[in-house]
Amino acid sequence: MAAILECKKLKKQYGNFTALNEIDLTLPEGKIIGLLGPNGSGKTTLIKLASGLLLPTSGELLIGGKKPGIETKKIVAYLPERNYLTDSMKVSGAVDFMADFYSDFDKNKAYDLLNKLDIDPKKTLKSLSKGTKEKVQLILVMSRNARLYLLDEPIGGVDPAARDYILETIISNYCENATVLISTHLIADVESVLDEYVFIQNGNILEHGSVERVKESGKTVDGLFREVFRC
Amino acid sequence: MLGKLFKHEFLTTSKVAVPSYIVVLVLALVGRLLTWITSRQYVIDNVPGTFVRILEVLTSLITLLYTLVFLGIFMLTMAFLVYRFYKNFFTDEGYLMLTLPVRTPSLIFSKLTNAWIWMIFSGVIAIFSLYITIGHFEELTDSLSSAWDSIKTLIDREGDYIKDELGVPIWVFVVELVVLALAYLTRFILSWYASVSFGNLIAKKHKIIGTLFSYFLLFIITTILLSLYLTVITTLIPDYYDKLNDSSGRALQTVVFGSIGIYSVFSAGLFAFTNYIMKHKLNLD
Repeated sequence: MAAILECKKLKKQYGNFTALNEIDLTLPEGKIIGLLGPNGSGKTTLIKLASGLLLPTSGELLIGGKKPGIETKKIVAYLPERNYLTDSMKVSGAVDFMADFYSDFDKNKAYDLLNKLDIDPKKTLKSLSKGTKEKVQLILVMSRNARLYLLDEPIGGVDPAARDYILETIISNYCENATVLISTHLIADVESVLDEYVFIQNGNILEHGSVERVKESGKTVDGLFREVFRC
Repeated sequence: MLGKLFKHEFLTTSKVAVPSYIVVLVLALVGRLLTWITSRQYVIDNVPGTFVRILEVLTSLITLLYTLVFLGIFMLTMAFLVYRFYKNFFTDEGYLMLTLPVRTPSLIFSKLTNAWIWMIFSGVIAIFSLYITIGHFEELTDSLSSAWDSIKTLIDREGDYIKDELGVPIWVFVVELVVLALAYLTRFILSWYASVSFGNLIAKKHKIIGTLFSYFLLFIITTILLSLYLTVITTLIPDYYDKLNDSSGRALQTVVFGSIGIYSVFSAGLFAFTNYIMKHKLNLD
């Protein structure tokens, strides 16, 4: 199976602190993969490197065989854990903005998803609650027909009911051949949608495997995580 | 993509800039109207004195407010544009802007061109509002056409003399002055963008202080570089100052071209510096 993301001896340092320690990782196409680890383990750094927001200290990261740049940004849909939309913008303005810059953006899908959630596109973002803004951002990301979705803590700041909606939106809207990388520490909530898991700690990849295999051994990913990360 | 970046930036900034400029014009208009009312003989003769005095106080307050806004229009516009640059790239909004499939220089250039437009527009608004405040409405059309006539007469009568003095036709000289103004404006805007970028790099919490410190630092570096430039020039051309003191138009040309050159070199350096930080050093919180 072709790889959509490859890390070869990838290292990222902030001053003396090593956020990623020469990791090797290959993620295949067409999978939903959990990037799982405690806070400060290097999940966000890896996602920032893949989205082109950071440059590696050494080593290499490739998306579809290319270094992060304009070409990879065209095929990567990134959802940060921050609210990145301008407050004065209308929801419809945010949809137009995405459609202007991403040729793979599906406006109809975006309006359809907004409609299902009863979000008025004429409203400005500042008039929406924090949770609704997060849902708007998720809709904007999932309305792209990208090859790699990078979702950084998409369920971190929302209530359990909203978590189900978010996961449902992700699994029912990503392209079949695309890969979704979900970074989270809430493993039990995402486990049911994952094909693969990657355990990361202190900038090192501890394990990368198939969820199916874990289930076959009579365990859960959440249980395995607790075993591996036992204090 | 540059066009799209510019379009979105222009639409977003116009939401703040246009209402602000309307306020300036309305203040100028209200001030003018109140002055006109209180100076009418009919009002002086027939309206109670207390009411006229209230109107006069109100007129003074509006005029004072207008003067403050008028004086601050460039500063406020510039502060707003610098804030937009900071907000768009160095706060959470950066997660969207810096992951767009566009080159970093295009991001900076879209902000720069937008800043040009608003700075020039704020100048036009300032002049227009001043005309509302002190100009004579009934003579507006006449004065505009007479000003144009005067320019035409000047060009016709003095064109050859100016050409001899400057060494170029007058319209070329006007273009040179416009380019000089743009070069100055570009260096000014880019020095703030570079300060914001560097300020964010050195100050993790107090980013405004970091930006102001960087601007001060940049000012010192600019002054040192200018001194070095003058030292080199005067070494290479020993009678440089004599040539400058020569009041001929050709010396003026040298100054204009020299200034455009210096501003362009500084602007290129500041642009490259900002681009380097945004591309290689930025790590959003």
